[in-house]
Amino acid sequence: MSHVDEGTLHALVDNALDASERLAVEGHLATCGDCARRRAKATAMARQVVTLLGALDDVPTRVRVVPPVVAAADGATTAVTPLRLRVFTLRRVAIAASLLMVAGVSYEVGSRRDAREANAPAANTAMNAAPRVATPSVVEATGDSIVAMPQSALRQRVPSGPRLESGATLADRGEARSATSAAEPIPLPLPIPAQPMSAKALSMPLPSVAIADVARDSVAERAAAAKAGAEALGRVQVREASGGQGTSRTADLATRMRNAPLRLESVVVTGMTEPRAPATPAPTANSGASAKSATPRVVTLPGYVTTDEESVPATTRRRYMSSSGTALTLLIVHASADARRHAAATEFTVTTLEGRSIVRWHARGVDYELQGALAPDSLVKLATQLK
Amino acid sequence: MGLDLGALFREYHESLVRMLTRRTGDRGHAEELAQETFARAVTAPPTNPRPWLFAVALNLLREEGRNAATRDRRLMLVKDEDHVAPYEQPDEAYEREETRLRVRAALAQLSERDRDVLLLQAEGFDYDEIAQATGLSRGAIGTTLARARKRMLEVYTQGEGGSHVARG
Repeated sequence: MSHVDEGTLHALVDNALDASERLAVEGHLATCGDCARRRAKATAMARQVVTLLGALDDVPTRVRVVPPVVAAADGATTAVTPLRLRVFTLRRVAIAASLLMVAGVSYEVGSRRDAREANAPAANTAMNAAPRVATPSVVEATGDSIVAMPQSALRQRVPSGPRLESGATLADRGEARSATSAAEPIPLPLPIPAQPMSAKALSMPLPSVAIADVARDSVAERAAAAKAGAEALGRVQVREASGGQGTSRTADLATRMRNAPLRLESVVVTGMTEPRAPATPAPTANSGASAKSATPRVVTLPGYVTTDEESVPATTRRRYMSSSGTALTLLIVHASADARRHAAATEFTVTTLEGRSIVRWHARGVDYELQGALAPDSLVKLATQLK
Repeated sequence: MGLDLGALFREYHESLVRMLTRRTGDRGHAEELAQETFARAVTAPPTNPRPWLFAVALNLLREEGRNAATRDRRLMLVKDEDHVAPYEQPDEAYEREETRLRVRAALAQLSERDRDVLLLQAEGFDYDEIAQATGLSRGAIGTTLARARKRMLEVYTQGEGGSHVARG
């Protein structure tokens, strides 16, 4: 056999030769010092390259996820609800729900303010019920980026653990909901399934406010996407806050869609729930993936909701950035099912400004604000999850 | 049969993000791409997930690469990243950053195909999978890897002496 070419040597090193080839090559190497040395070199090169590539993994991060503060009374049975966060590349021109992103226009989404006006005593009861619910968890960023945070009382975070009193609070919450329904047509912002869905639901994401694959320049398709977005909004009634009270009108979604060529950077689709309990992460097949230490016992994936911060791998605590320098955090949101149900009965104020949306809400005497380069309804969904 | 995206995610997400981070130098960007890749897997469930996912991710990246504006934006981001205060000793941080920049520079000297093959191999892809993900013939992988490794180490080693100049 003549000398072995480089490609074959590297294939040998990578264990990619079939048995007969391998035998032939190794037979040659046994008798040819030159080729044996070249194999040793190839082995070293392969290793060195892998080591060097590892240096590229070391990139800074600026977002950290603070500990969850919401947990069900019975922590062991808390469900983990994934929240799918789809991030569109910036090229992707805005579709669907971005119709709402008209600069400077303010909306109230799924407002319960009207409910309060219509039925003040009941609503007050609801507000009084709020303090019994655990503080929403928050996401912080150290840079100039978005954050969901209480504008005050960040320090009042409570450690995770049993928090929700079930009986009375739930009863009050029921009252809160009836207060809302008393003031129809003010629907809840986000339909939250009462029962955990099966894992299969993952392949059937709930209606999104946007459609991923709509061609970006087609007016007709964008209009279709707008319609889908409007439908997805479904039970969220979008009202223009015209400064006065009770004189809002429903926005003309399709028209706004065409007039608002804004970027949609992210769509949130709420997904299924899956049991949190004793699941352990499936062993990874690829060699490198599990090599990193500190793989949590239960892994919460990016965009999922969890009550267990330890289940969030450090690598997922990241931040996205948009072209305008604003940021979108990959939100690892912590909330129990009860807390989320409660959230559905609370009001949001949504403002959009230059492609950024700001959702504000008030709970237990604390003002919260969530900002991001997101479609407002997406942000509302996130806010709902956060609450 | 629904696609078990969760299982797919658990199995490949970290590896995919790592590969994309190495490729782009920007983890946020890498995670965006990974999210989009998995989103596509929902609409078109792959039969052979690993090569499929990585191929889709690399294609997304390539598409983006054709857009100069995107590239500029990313450059801005990378620059922005440099302002982040590291939580470690300055010397150590400097050294690591130095290495990182040199590895990046070396990788940048490779052709796109060589770079992809190298990164996929580093994620534990076997030659069949690399061939599937890149469209290269299986027989060409060994030669490609030999060339890519050699070139990368050459450039990296060159950088060792002149790094201060290059950095200034």
